[in-house]
Amino acid sequence: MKDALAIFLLMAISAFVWTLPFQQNQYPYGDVDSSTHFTLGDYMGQNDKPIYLLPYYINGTIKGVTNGYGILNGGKLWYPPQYHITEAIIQLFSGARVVPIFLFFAFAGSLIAVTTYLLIRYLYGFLPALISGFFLIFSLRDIMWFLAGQHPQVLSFAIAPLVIYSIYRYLESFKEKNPKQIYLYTAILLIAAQFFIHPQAIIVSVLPLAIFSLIFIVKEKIIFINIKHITIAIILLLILTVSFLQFPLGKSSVYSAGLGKAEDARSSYGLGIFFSWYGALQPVGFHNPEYWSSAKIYSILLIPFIIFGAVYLILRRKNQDLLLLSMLLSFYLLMHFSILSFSRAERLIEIEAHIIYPLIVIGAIIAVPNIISLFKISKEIKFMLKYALALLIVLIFIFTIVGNSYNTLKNAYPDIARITQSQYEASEWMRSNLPNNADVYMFRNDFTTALPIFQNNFPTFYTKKKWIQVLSLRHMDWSSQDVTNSTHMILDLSDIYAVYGQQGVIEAQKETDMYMQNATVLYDKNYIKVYKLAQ
Amino acid sequence: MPNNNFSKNWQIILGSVVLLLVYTFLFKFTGARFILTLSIFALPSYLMLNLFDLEDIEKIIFSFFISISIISSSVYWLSFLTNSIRLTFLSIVIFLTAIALIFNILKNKKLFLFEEKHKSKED
Repeated sequence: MKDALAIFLLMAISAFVWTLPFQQNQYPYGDVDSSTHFTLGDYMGQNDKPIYLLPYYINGTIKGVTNGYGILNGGKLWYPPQYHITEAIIQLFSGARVVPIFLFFAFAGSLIAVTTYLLIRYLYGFLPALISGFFLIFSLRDIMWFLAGQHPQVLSFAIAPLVIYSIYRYLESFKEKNPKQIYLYTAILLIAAQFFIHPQAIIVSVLPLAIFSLIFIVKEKIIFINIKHITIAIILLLILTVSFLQFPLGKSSVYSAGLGKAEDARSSYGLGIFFSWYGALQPVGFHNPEYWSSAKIYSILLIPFIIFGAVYLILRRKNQDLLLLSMLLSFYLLMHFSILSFSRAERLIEIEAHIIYPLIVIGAIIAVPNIISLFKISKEIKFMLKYALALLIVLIFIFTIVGNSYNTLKNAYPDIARITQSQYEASEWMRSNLPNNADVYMFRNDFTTALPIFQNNFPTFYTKKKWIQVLSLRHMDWSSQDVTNSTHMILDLSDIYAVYGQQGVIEAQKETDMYMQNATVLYDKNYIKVYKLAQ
Repeated sequence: MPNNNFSKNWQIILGSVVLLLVYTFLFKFTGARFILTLSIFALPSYLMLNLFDLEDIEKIIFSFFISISIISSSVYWLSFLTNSIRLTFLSIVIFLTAIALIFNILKNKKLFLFEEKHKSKED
């Protein structure tokens, strides 16, 4: 039962590492979608009520023009609500507004370490599983999506190893002529969870299983179809999901539109893409250049073990080897056929480390000792070699990968790159004092957007404005140039003051005077003012 | 077997306490309440999975995800009736935990649905 201790150990390390961005500074952060995923749960938690239609501050209109998220899905939630209602539950019972939801993001996001542990432990044993899980705590691409705020995506991808594990156990039980249908049903429950959390991840579960199932049928000559099991599984899936299909797949939903746009990349790029590991994938769709650098994910010193691992699996071809190879082939197909990845291969690249990290471990502590044992070494030497190699790859990983991942988390969103105390207080004031249907014009000018911190396009100025909107739970207009449509206005010069001091504020205010005629100051604190505008 | 069960439970309890301490150390009372909430969230699923022939590690890991499928889905729709997420969540957790506990007791005493399977194994 060292497994229980191992997974709690992985969770404990993950807790230290993945919460680094908010251990010291507990104000909210994240790219645009982060505030969205925060607010859907936060709004339900704050009101202790579920939502079906989006509230005004997200879905608001100004003079009939919708500029909110409701445009994506006819005014209702465009995600199934499970992830966000879980946030609300966590918030309601944890006694704070922001930190519990960010704890949930971090806890859920880091679960790939635990789910991969379960899969690899069954396939290759305790030590490969523990090391693979440890490596995945520092998986930079997972960390980057987590920091950017794609929280449901990161969690949903983490479920894939569990689905694969469950179906593999189900197939194996068929081979042993003792079908354990419980694994089929857990797989269905997990696929339903993927659908609820982030449907795109279902392909990450299903594609490798489709490939492996074909191989399994041919290799084992077993048809593993049991009508009773499959019927129950389908009924279970329908019961769970049917009432939630309307959210991601409803009329004019974002997912329906996305599916329709998916194209086969071959027609655009030719056959040459098949000789490239990432196919036609271009480094666009994610802001940080490190995301596209394999050297930041895999140390060059570990590359030989990937090759050892892959060659070993191809030569040995036991069922567990074929399963892992199916996952590898599946990743290749997802990179090369955009119709499979719904044209979002730049996101699916996140799962590469979920396969390659275990492959490194297998290459080092299973493949290499087995290859060397061909030279008739004693069992004791083989045993020592295995642990020496385990220590070696862990040390290489710590010295080449861990530091960068750790610093990425620790240094995420410093100072004014995230919501500041002043902005949080102003947002809370607006939440308590402005009417629910207020339209707040958020003043912006070239001066504010030119702050150095916003020059790398991440975090954008837009990101922070959206955070102020969701924390205040009030509708904001930051895109139009017409202040007359709004009932209130917020003038936030606090970031300018933090960078340029009082002189910067004086300069910026010169541009704002024209808006202040007939406006009444309601809030004035720390270089943030909220006005009531004359109608 | 009792020793084995004790060993299993002891390690799960130790692991849970360590996790609780880590979150409490990092985020004080909020961290502790977060972990306790998560534990309550996953408890009914864990107990339901306990009815089946699954390993402890599977039950621990699956329970969180299955709770998202079952508990969160139920809380969402039923909260429209009760008008309170908090009340609905507590009601569902208590109800499902009670049901799961009853079935676990029946399983341990080899009664009801579990009787036939037990007998057929003996045969």
